[in-house]
Amino acid sequence: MASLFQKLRTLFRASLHEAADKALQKSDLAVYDDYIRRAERELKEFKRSIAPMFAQVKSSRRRREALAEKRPGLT
Amino acid sequence: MELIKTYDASLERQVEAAEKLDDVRVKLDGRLAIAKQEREELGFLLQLAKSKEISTKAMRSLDSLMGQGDSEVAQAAENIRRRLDHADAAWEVQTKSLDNQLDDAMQSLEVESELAARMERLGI
Repeated sequence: MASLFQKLRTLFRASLHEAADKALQKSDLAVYDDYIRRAERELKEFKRSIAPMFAQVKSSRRRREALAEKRPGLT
Repeated sequence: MELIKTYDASLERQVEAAEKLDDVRVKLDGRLAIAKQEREELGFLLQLAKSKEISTKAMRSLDSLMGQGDSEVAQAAENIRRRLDHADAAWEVQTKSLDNQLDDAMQSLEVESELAARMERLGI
């Protein structure tokens, strides 16, 4: 759980304002672009991490439906 | 019958947890979209500032035009900062509940996954 949260560190913690300020001060968007790249990576990793959980829910639903078909009185 | 009820309750908790995670995902997508949108604005602003610098150098002899446009660039920068401040403040409020949502959802799904696996082994 902690590791999933840590994976989202940039998106959760970093301030957009600070990143933009650094870019404006240096007249260079590299810092801001770096923020976006890290955030994109984190979000991709987060989506990959939670995908199996959605698959688990689908699987559970299917089993429940199969159970209902086997024992009609349970719907 | 009891097992089926347990299964149903477990499924309900799994669905709830999954919905929370999806909510977190949507909010994170939104946050990234804001960052990318402002990146465009920042790009234009820096381009404007560079153009101003070039045109100022070219018109150095015309003293009355020196500094013109400085306030426009400063105002544009201030507008971007204000929008990002607003986005950051709103995000901070959301982050607190997202922290808890994420924790709850992950914990719930881990427990329910174990339960589902156990039921599968039992042939339910």
